[in-house]
Amino acid sequence: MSTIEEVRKAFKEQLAGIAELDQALAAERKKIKVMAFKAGGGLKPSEIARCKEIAATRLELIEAQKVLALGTIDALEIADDVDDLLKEIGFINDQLEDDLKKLKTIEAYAEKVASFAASAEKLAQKLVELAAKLP
Amino acid sequence: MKTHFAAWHFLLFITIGLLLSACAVDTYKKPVGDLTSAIETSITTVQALDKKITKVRNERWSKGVAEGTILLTTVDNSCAEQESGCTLEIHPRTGPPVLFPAKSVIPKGLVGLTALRAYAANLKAIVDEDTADAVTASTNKALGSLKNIEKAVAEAKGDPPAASVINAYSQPVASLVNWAVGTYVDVVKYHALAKATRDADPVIRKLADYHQTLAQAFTSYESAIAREAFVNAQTAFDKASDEGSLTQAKVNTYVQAAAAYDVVLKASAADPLGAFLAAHTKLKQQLNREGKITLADAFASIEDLKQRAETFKEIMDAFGKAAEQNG
Repeated sequence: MSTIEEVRKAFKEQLAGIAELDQALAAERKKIKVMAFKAGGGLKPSEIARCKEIAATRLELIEAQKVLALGTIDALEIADDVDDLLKEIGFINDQLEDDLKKLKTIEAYAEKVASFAASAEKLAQKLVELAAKLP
Repeated sequence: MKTHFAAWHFLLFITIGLLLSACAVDTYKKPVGDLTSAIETSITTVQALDKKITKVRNERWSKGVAEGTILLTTVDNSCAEQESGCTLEIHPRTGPPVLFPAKSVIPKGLVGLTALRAYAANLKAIVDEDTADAVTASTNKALGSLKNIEKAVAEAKGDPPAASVINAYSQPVASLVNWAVGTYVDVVKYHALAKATRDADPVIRKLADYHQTLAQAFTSYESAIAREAFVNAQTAFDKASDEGSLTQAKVNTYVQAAAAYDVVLKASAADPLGAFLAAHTKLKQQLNREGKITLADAFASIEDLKQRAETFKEIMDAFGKAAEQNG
Protein backbone atom coordinates (compact mmCIF):
# COMPACT_ATOMS: atom_id res chain seq x y z
CA MET A 1 0.00 0.00 0.00
CA SER A 2 1.15 3.51 -0.79
CA THR A 3 -0.01 7.08 -0.38
CA ILE A 4 -1.49 9.13 -3.23
CA GLU A 5 1.75 11.13 -3.35
CA GLU A 6 3.86 7.97 -3.65
CA VAL A 7 1.61 6.59 -6.41
CA ARG A 8 1.77 9.90 -8.26
CA LYS A 9 5.57 10.06 -7.97
CA ALA A 10 6.06 6.48 -9.12
CA PHE A 11 3.70 6.99 -12.07
CA LYS A 12 5.48 10.16 -13.19
CA GLU A 13 8.94 8.58 -12.90
CA GLN A 14 8.03 5.43 -14.78
CA LEU A 15 6.11 7.32 -17.46
CA ALA A 16 9.06 9.67 -17.90
CA GLY A 17 11.34 6.64 -18.36
CA ILE A 18 9.05 5.17 -21.02
CA ALA A 19 8.76 8.56 -22.76
CA GLU A 20 12.54 9.05 -22.81
CA LEU A 21 13.12 5.67 -24.41
CA ASP A 22 10.24 6.09 -26.88
CA GLN A 23 11.49 9.52 -27.96
CA ALA A 24 15.03 8.13 -28.46
CA LEU A 25 13.69 5.27 -30.60
CA ALA A 26 11.51 7.62 -32.69
CA ALA A 27 14.52 9.91 -33.23
CA GLU A 28 16.77 6.98 -34.23
CA ARG A 29 14.20 5.74 -36.77
CA LYS A 30 13.90 9.21 -38.29
CA LYS A 31 17.70 9.55 -38.50
CA ILE A 32 18.04 6.22 -40.36
CA LYS A 33 15.27 7.21 -42.83
CA VAL A 34 16.57 10.73 -43.51
CA MET A 35 20.20 9.62 -43.93
CA ALA A 36 19.21 6.88 -46.39
CA PHE A 37 17.00 9.29 -48.37
CA LYS A 38 19.75 11.94 -48.54
CA ALA A 39 22.26 9.31 -49.64
CA GLY A 40 19.91 8.71 -52.58
CA GLY A 41 19.17 5.07 -51.94
CA GLY A 42 16.86 2.76 -50.07
CA LEU A 43 17.54 1.32 -46.64
CA LYS A 44 20.21 -1.33 -46.24
CA PRO A 45 18.99 -4.71 -44.91
CA SER A 46 20.62 -3.93 -41.55
CA GLU A 47 18.78 -0.62 -41.38
CA ILE A 48 15.46 -2.27 -42.28
CA ALA A 49 16.06 -4.80 -39.50
CA ARG A 50 16.90 -2.00 -37.05
CA CYS A 51 13.68 -0.12 -37.95
CA LYS A 52 11.69 -3.30 -37.32
CA GLU A 53 13.42 -3.71 -33.96
CA ILE A 54 12.61 -0.11 -33.11
CA ALA A 55 8.92 -0.64 -33.93
CA ALA A 56 8.82 -3.85 -31.88
CA THR A 57 10.46 -2.16 -28.89
CA ARG A 58 8.04 0.76 -29.16
CA LEU A 59 5.11 -1.69 -29.09
CA GLU A 60 6.59 -3.29 -25.95
CA LEU A 61 6.84 0.14 -24.37
CA ILE A 62 3.21 0.80 -25.32
CA GLU A 63 2.15 -2.36 -23.50
CA ALA A 64 4.24 -1.31 -20.49
CA GLN A 65 2.53 2.09 -20.57
CA LYS A 66 -0.93 0.47 -20.63
CA VAL A 67 -0.03 -1.71 -17.65
CA LEU A 68 1.42 1.31 -15.84
CA ALA A 69 -1.74 3.39 -16.48
CA LEU A 70 -4.12 0.66 -15.29
CA GLY A 71 -1.87 -0.17 -12.32
CA THR A 72 -1.80 3.49 -11.32
CA ILE A 73 -5.61 3.72 -11.48
CA ASP A 74 -5.86 0.63 -9.24
CA ALA A 75 -3.19 1.94 -6.84
CA LEU A 76 -4.96 5.29 -6.49
CA GLU A 77 -8.20 3.52 -5.61
CA ILE A 78 -6.56 1.66 -2.74
CA ALA A 79 -4.12 4.39 -1.64
CA ASP A 80 -3.65 4.61 2.15
CA ASP A 81 -4.94 8.17 2.46
CA VAL A 82 -7.82 8.18 -0.03
CA ASP A 83 -10.54 7.40 2.53
CA ASP A 84 -9.33 10.16 4.88
CA LEU A 85 -9.29 12.58 1.97
CA LEU A 86 -12.89 11.79 1.08
CA LYS A 87 -13.90 12.30 4.72
CA GLU A 88 -12.10 15.66 4.85
CA ILE A 89 -13.78 17.03 1.73
CA GLY A 90 -17.12 15.78 3.10
CA PHE A 91 -16.49 17.75 6.30
CA ILE A 92 -15.73 20.93 4.33
CA ASN A 93 -18.93 20.51 2.34
CA ASP A 94 -20.88 20.14 5.61
CA GLN A 95 -19.39 23.43 6.85
CA LEU A 96 -20.39 25.19 3.64
CA GLU A 97 -23.92 23.86 3.93
CA ASP A 98 -24.05 25.24 7.50
CA ASP A 99 -22.99 28.66 6.21
CA LEU A 100 -25.78 28.53 3.68
CA LYS A 101 -28.26 27.67 6.44
CA LYS A 102 -26.99 30.71 8.39
CA LEU A 103 -27.85 32.94 5.43
CA LYS A 104 -31.29 31.34 5.24
CA THR A 105 -31.80 32.12 8.96
CA ILE A 106 -31.39 35.84 8.32
CA GLU A 107 -34.02 35.50 5.60
CA ALA A 108 -36.32 33.62 7.98
CA TYR A 109 -36.07 36.35 10.64
CA ALA A 110 -37.12 39.00 8.14
CA GLU A 111 -40.05 36.84 7.11
CA LYS A 112 -41.09 36.47 10.76
CA VAL A 113 -41.05 40.28 11.24
CA ALA A 114 -43.15 40.69 8.09
CA SER A 115 -45.64 38.08 9.18
CA PHE A 116 -45.85 39.64 12.69
CA ALA A 117 -46.60 43.03 11.10
CA ALA A 118 -49.25 41.42 8.90
CA SER A 119 -50.90 39.83 11.98
CA ALA A 120 -50.82 43.15 13.81
CA GLU A 121 -52.44 44.77 10.78
CA LYS A 122 -55.31 42.25 10.88
CA LEU A 123 -55.70 42.79 14.63
CA ALA A 124 -55.88 46.57 14.18
CA GLN A 125 -58.57 46.17 11.54
CA LYS A 126 -60.56 43.90 13.87
CA LEU A 127 -60.30 46.46 16.64
CA VAL A 128 -61.53 49.19 14.30
CA GLU A 129 -64.50 47.00 13.33
CA LEU A 130 -65.28 46.28 16.99
CA ALA A 131 -64.99 49.96 17.91
CA ALA A 132 -67.45 50.84 15.15
CA LYS A 133 -70.02 48.42 16.59
CA LEU A 134 -69.84 49.93 20.06
CA PRO A 135 -72.81 52.14 20.96
CA MET B 1 -33.03 73.86 5.12
CA LYS B 2 -30.85 72.16 7.67
CA THR B 3 -33.34 69.23 7.82
CA HIS B 4 -33.30 68.88 4.02
CA PHE B 5 -29.50 68.84 3.96
CA ALA B 6 -29.45 66.16 6.66
CA ALA B 7 -32.01 64.07 4.74
CA TRP B 8 -30.02 64.32 1.48
CA HIS B 9 -26.83 63.50 3.32
CA PHE B 10 -28.51 60.49 4.88
CA LEU B 11 -29.89 59.30 1.54
CA LEU B 12 -26.51 59.74 -0.16
CA PHE B 13 -24.87 57.71 2.60
CA ILE B 14 -27.49 54.97 2.21
CA THR B 15 -27.11 54.89 -1.59
CA ILE B 16 -23.32 54.63 -1.43
CA GLY B 17 -23.68 51.93 1.20
CA LEU B 18 -26.08 49.98 -0.96
CA LEU B 19 -23.86 50.29 -4.03
CA LEU B 20 -20.80 49.17 -2.10
CA SER B 21 -22.49 46.20 -0.51
CA ALA B 22 -24.14 45.17 -3.77
CA CYS B 23 -20.89 44.97 -5.71
CA ALA B 24 -18.76 43.13 -3.13
CA VAL B 25 -19.73 39.47 -3.26
CA ASP B 26 -21.60 39.85 -6.55
CA THR B 27 -18.18 40.32 -8.16
CA TYR B 28 -17.47 36.66 -7.44
CA LYS B 29 -20.68 35.41 -9.08
CA LYS B 30 -19.29 34.87 -12.58
CA PRO B 31 -15.87 33.41 -11.65
CA VAL B 32 -17.34 31.08 -9.02
CA GLY B 33 -19.98 30.08 -11.59
CA ASP B 34 -17.18 29.45 -14.11
CA LEU B 35 -15.27 27.40 -11.52
CA THR B 36 -18.37 25.24 -11.02
CA SER B 37 -19.05 24.73 -14.72
CA ALA B 38 -15.37 23.99 -15.45
CA ILE B 39 -15.22 21.29 -12.79
CA GLU B 40 -18.50 19.90 -14.13
CA THR B 41 -17.00 19.69 -17.64
CA SER B 42 -13.90 17.92 -16.30
CA ILE B 43 -16.01 15.48 -14.29
CA THR B 44 -18.08 14.60 -17.36
CA THR B 45 -14.89 13.94 -19.31
CA VAL B 46 -13.35 11.80 -16.54
CA GLN B 47 -16.62 9.83 -16.24
CA ALA B 48 -16.58 9.16 -19.99
CA LEU B 49 -12.94 8.05 -19.74
CA ASP B 50 -13.80 5.83 -16.77
CA LYS B 51 -16.46 4.05 -18.86
CA LYS B 52 -13.96 3.42 -21.65
CA ILE B 53 -11.17 2.23 -19.36
CA THR B 54 -13.57 0.07 -17.32
CA LYS B 55 -14.55 -1.72 -20.55
CA VAL B 56 -10.87 -2.27 -21.38
CA ARG B 57 -10.16 -3.35 -17.80
CA ASN B 58 -12.94 -5.94 -17.86
CA GLU B 59 -11.69 -7.27 -21.20
CA ARG B 60 -8.14 -7.62 -19.85
CA TRP B 61 -9.33 -9.32 -16.67
CA SER B 62 -11.49 -11.65 -18.73
CA LYS B 63 -8.46 -12.51 -20.86
CA GLY B 64 -6.39 -13.09 -17.71
CA VAL B 65 -9.06 -15.44 -16.38
CA ALA B 66 -9.06 -17.34 -19.68
CA GLU B 67 -5.25 -17.58 -19.59
CA GLY B 68 -5.27 -18.70 -15.95
CA THR B 69 -3.30 -15.74 -14.58
CA ILE B 70 -6.33 -14.36 -12.71
CA LEU B 71 -8.70 -16.34 -10.48
CA LEU B 72 -12.46 -15.86 -10.90
CA THR B 73 -14.63 -16.80 -7.90
CA THR B 74 -17.99 -16.00 -6.38
CA VAL B 75 -18.24 -13.25 -3.76
CA ASP B 76 -18.68 -14.48 -0.14
CA ASN B 77 -22.33 -15.18 0.79
CA SER B 78 -23.51 -15.08 -2.79
CA CYS B 79 -24.52 -17.41 -5.63
CA ALA B 80 -26.26 -19.96 -3.36
CA GLU B 81 -29.89 -20.63 -2.56
CA GLN B 82 -31.54 -18.03 -0.29
CA GLU B 83 -28.63 -15.61 -0.78
CA SER B 84 -29.49 -12.07 -1.87
CA GLY B 85 -27.70 -12.33 -5.22
CA CYS B 86 -24.98 -13.86 -7.32
CA THR B 87 -21.85 -11.81 -7.87
CA LEU B 88 -18.39 -12.70 -9.10
CA GLU B 89 -14.99 -11.33 -8.17
CA ILE B 90 -11.54 -11.68 -9.59
CA HIS B 91 -8.37 -12.25 -7.60
CA PRO B 92 -5.25 -10.80 -9.22
CA ARG B 93 -1.86 -12.21 -8.13
CA THR B 94 -1.32 -9.03 -6.12
CA GLY B 95 -3.88 -6.70 -4.59
CA PRO B 96 -7.34 -7.23 -3.15
CA PRO B 97 -10.21 -9.00 -4.99
CA VAL B 98 -12.32 -6.85 -7.28
CA LEU B 99 -15.96 -7.26 -8.34
CA PHE B 100 -16.26 -8.60 -11.87
CA PRO B 101 -17.38 -7.22 -14.24
CA ALA B 102 -16.46 -3.87 -12.73
CA LYS B 103 -18.89 -0.98 -13.21
CA SER B 104 -16.14 1.57 -12.69
CA VAL B 105 -12.40 1.32 -12.21
CA ILE B 106 -12.50 4.37 -9.96
CA PRO B 107 -15.45 4.04 -7.55
CA LYS B 108 -13.61 6.07 -4.88
CA GLY B 109 -12.36 8.47 -7.51
CA LEU B 110 -15.95 9.11 -8.55
CA VAL B 111 -16.91 9.74 -4.91
CA GLY B 112 -14.08 12.28 -4.73
CA LEU B 113 -15.22 13.93 -7.95
CA THR B 114 -18.78 14.13 -6.64
CA ALA B 115 -17.46 15.76 -3.45
CA LEU B 116 -15.44 18.21 -5.55
CA ARG B 117 -18.56 19.01 -7.57
CA ALA B 118 -20.53 19.53 -4.33
CA TYR B 119 -17.79 21.82 -2.99
CA ALA B 120 -17.90 24.02 -6.10
CA ALA B 121 -21.72 23.97 -6.05
CA ASN B 122 -21.73 25.00 -2.36
CA LEU B 123 -19.42 27.94 -3.08
CA LYS B 124 -21.76 28.94 -5.90
CA ALA B 125 -24.84 28.57 -3.68
CA ILE B 126 -23.33 30.97 -1.14
CA VAL B 127 -22.46 33.54 -3.78
CA ASP B 128 -25.88 33.20 -5.45
CA GLU B 129 -27.92 33.17 -2.22
CA ASP B 130 -30.45 36.02 -2.51
CA THR B 131 -30.92 36.60 1.23
CA ALA B 132 -30.65 40.39 0.92
CA ASP B 133 -33.37 40.45 -1.76
CA ALA B 134 -35.64 38.23 0.31
CA VAL B 135 -35.11 40.48 3.34
CA THR B 136 -35.90 43.56 1.23
CA ALA B 137 -39.20 42.00 0.15
CA SER B 138 -40.07 41.14 3.76
CA THR B 139 -39.14 44.63 4.98
CA ASN B 140 -41.34 46.24 2.34
CA LYS B 141 -44.17 43.89 3.30
CA ALA B 142 -43.78 44.78 6.99
CA LEU B 143 -43.74 48.51 6.23
CA GLY B 144 -46.85 48.11 4.10
CA SER B 145 -48.61 46.49 7.05
CA LEU B 146 -47.47 49.26 9.40
CA LYS B 147 -48.96 51.88 7.08
CA ASN B 148 -52.31 50.07 7.15
CA ILE B 149 -52.20 49.79 10.96
CA GLU B 150 -51.55 53.51 11.21
CA LYS B 151 -54.51 54.19 8.90
CA ALA B 152 -56.81 51.82 10.86
CA VAL B 153 -55.85 53.39 14.18
CA ALA B 154 -56.46 56.89 12.82
CA GLU B 155 -59.89 55.80 11.54
CA ALA B 156 -60.76 54.23 14.90
CA LYS B 157 -59.83 57.41 16.66
CA GLY B 158 -61.96 59.34 14.20
CA ASP B 159 -58.96 61.48 13.21
CA PRO B 160 -59.19 63.34 9.88
CA PRO B 161 -56.94 62.00 7.07
CA ALA B 162 -53.45 63.38 7.60
CA ALA B 163 -49.96 62.88 6.18
CA SER B 164 -48.80 59.39 7.15
CA VAL B 165 -45.81 59.27 9.49
CA ILE B 166 -44.98 55.73 8.36
CA ASN B 167 -45.25 56.83 4.75
CA ALA B 168 -42.82 59.67 5.36
CA TYR B 169 -40.22 57.41 6.95
CA SER B 170 -40.83 54.11 5.18
CA GLN B 171 -38.42 54.83 2.32
CA PRO B 172 -35.37 55.77 4.48
CA VAL B 173 -36.23 53.03 6.98
CA ALA B 174 -36.47 50.43 4.20
CA SER B 175 -33.22 51.69 2.69
CA LEU B 176 -31.46 51.59 6.03
CA VAL B 177 -32.69 48.07 6.82
CA ASN B 178 -31.79 46.86 3.32
CA TRP B 179 -28.37 48.44 3.47
CA ALA B 180 -27.64 46.99 6.91
CA VAL B 181 -28.87 43.55 5.93
CA GLY B 182 -27.12 43.72 2.53
CA THR B 183 -23.82 44.64 4.17
CA TYR B 184 -24.22 42.01 6.88
CA VAL B 185 -25.15 39.31 4.35
CA ASP B 186 -22.15 40.28 2.22
CA VAL B 187 -19.84 40.01 5.23
CA VAL B 188 -21.30 36.59 6.10
CA LYS B 189 -20.95 35.44 2.47
CA TYR B 190 -17.43 36.82 2.12
CA HIS B 191 -16.25 35.21 5.35
CA ALA B 192 -17.89 31.92 4.38
CA LEU B 193 -16.07 31.95 1.03
CA ALA B 194 -12.74 33.02 2.52
CA LYS B 195 -12.92 30.44 5.32
CA ALA B 196 -14.11 27.64 3.04
CA THR B 197 -11.35 28.18 0.47
CA ARG B 198 -8.75 28.51 3.26
CA ASP B 199 -9.89 25.38 5.14
CA ALA B 200 -10.38 23.42 1.93
CA ASP B 201 -7.00 24.37 0.44
CA PRO B 202 -4.91 21.41 1.74
CA VAL B 203 -7.74 18.97 0.96
CA ILE B 204 -8.36 20.44 -2.51
CA ARG B 205 -4.60 20.28 -3.12
CA LYS B 206 -4.55 16.54 -2.33
CA LEU B 207 -7.82 15.86 -4.10
CA ALA B 208 -6.67 17.74 -7.21
CA ASP B 209 -3.37 15.82 -7.07
CA TYR B 210 -5.31 12.58 -6.85
CA HIS B 211 -7.62 13.39 -9.77
CA GLN B 212 -4.85 14.96 -11.78
CA THR B 213 -2.87 11.71 -11.53
CA LEU B 214 -6.03 9.77 -12.33
CA ALA B 215 -6.72 11.90 -15.42
CA GLN B 216 -3.07 11.55 -16.46
CA ALA B 217 -3.26 7.77 -16.09
CA PHE B 218 -6.43 7.77 -18.22
CA THR B 219 -4.93 9.96 -20.94
CA SER B 220 -1.71 7.95 -20.73
CA TYR B 221 -3.71 4.81 -21.53
CA GLU B 222 -5.49 6.57 -24.40
CA SER B 223 -2.13 7.85 -25.60
CA ALA B 224 -0.74 4.31 -25.60
CA ILE B 225 -3.71 3.16 -27.73
CA ALA B 226 -3.19 6.03 -30.19
CA ARG B 227 0.58 5.39 -30.34
CA GLU B 228 -0.03 1.71 -30.98
CA ALA B 229 -2.19 2.57 -34.01
CA PHE B 230 0.46 5.07 -35.11
CA VAL B 231 3.43 2.67 -34.81
CA ASN B 232 1.47 -0.07 -36.61
CA ALA B 233 0.56 2.34 -39.43
CA GLN B 234 4.18 3.49 -39.57
CA THR B 235 5.43 -0.10 -39.76
CA ALA B 236 2.98 -0.88 -42.61
CA PHE B 237 4.15 2.28 -44.35
CA ASP B 238 7.83 1.30 -43.92
CA LYS B 239 7.22 -2.23 -45.17
CA ALA B 240 5.41 -1.00 -48.29
CA SER B 241 8.08 1.64 -48.83
CA ASP B 242 10.94 -0.91 -48.54
CA GLU B 243 9.15 -3.28 -50.89
CA GLY B 244 8.31 -0.53 -53.38
CA SER B 245 4.56 -1.14 -52.99
CA LEU B 246 3.60 2.13 -51.34
CA THR B 247 0.05 3.23 -52.20
CA GLN B 248 -1.88 6.45 -51.52
CA ALA B 249 -4.16 4.52 -49.14
CA LYS B 250 -1.18 3.48 -46.97
CA VAL B 251 0.14 7.04 -46.92
CA ASN B 252 -3.32 8.27 -45.85
CA THR B 253 -3.59 5.67 -43.06
CA TYR B 254 -0.19 6.75 -41.71
CA VAL B 255 -1.17 10.45 -41.84
CA GLN B 256 -4.54 9.76 -40.11
CA ALA B 257 -2.87 7.76 -37.33
CA ALA B 258 -0.45 10.65 -36.76
CA ALA B 259 -3.39 13.09 -36.55
CA ALA B 260 -5.22 10.89 -33.99
CA TYR B 261 -2.06 10.56 -31.89
CA ASP B 262 -1.54 14.33 -32.08
CA VAL B 263 -5.06 14.86 -30.63
CA VAL B 264 -4.36 12.66 -27.59
CA LEU B 265 -0.95 14.20 -26.90
CA LYS B 266 -2.62 17.63 -26.81
CA ALA B 267 -5.25 16.35 -24.31
CA SER B 268 -2.48 15.53 -21.83
CA ALA B 269 -1.25 19.11 -22.04
CA ALA B 270 -4.73 20.53 -21.21
CA ASP B 271 -4.46 19.25 -17.61
CA PRO B 272 -7.79 20.67 -16.33
CA LEU B 273 -7.42 19.36 -12.76
CA GLY B 274 -4.00 20.97 -12.43
CA ALA B 275 -5.64 24.19 -13.64
CA PHE B 276 -8.44 23.73 -11.09
CA LEU B 277 -5.89 23.60 -8.30
CA ALA B 278 -4.13 26.74 -9.59
CA ALA B 279 -7.46 28.61 -9.89
CA HIS B 280 -8.63 27.55 -6.44
CA THR B 281 -5.30 28.53 -4.85
CA LYS B 282 -5.47 32.02 -6.37
CA LEU B 283 -9.11 32.46 -5.36
CA LYS B 284 -8.23 31.43 -1.79
CA GLN B 285 -5.24 33.82 -1.73
CA GLN B 286 -7.35 36.69 -3.04
CA LEU B 287 -10.24 36.09 -0.62
CA ASN B 288 -7.85 35.78 2.33
CA ARG B 289 -5.65 38.68 1.25
CA GLU B 290 -2.56 36.47 0.99
CA GLY B 291 0.39 37.77 -1.01
CA LYS B 292 -0.21 40.14 -3.90
CA ILE B 293 -2.86 38.13 -5.73
CA THR B 294 -5.43 40.50 -7.20
CA LEU B 295 -9.02 39.78 -8.11
CA ALA B 296 -7.99 39.97 -11.78
CA ASP B 297 -5.26 37.30 -11.21
CA ALA B 298 -7.74 34.95 -9.56
CA PHE B 299 -10.36 35.48 -12.28
CA ALA B 300 -7.79 35.01 -15.07
CA SER B 301 -6.78 31.73 -13.50
CA ILE B 302 -10.41 30.57 -13.40
CA GLU B 303 -10.84 31.62 -17.04
CA ASP B 304 -7.73 29.53 -17.89
CA LEU B 305 -9.26 26.57 -16.04
CA LYS B 306 -12.55 26.97 -17.94
CA GLN B 307 -10.74 26.94 -21.27
CA ARG B 308 -8.56 23.97 -20.34
CA ALA B 309 -11.57 21.97 -19.14
CA GLU B 310 -13.35 22.65 -22.42
CA THR B 311 -10.23 21.84 -24.45
CA PHE B 312 -9.75 18.59 -22.52
CA LYS B 313 -13.35 17.60 -23.22
CA GLU B 314 -13.22 18.59 -26.90
CA ILE B 315 -9.95 16.72 -27.44
CA MET B 316 -11.11 13.55 -25.70
CA ASP B 317 -14.41 13.67 -27.64
CA ALA B 318 -12.50 14.18 -30.89
CA PHE B 319 -10.16 11.27 -30.09
CA GLY B 320 -13.15 9.05 -29.26
CA LYS B 321 -14.64 9.83 -32.68
CA ALA B 322 -11.29 9.36 -34.48
CA ALA B 323 -10.73 6.04 -32.71
CA GLU B 324 -14.23 4.89 -33.72
CA GLN B 325 -13.59 5.85 -37.35
CA ASN B 326 -10.23 4.04 -37.37
CA GLY B 327 -11.97 1.00 -35.94
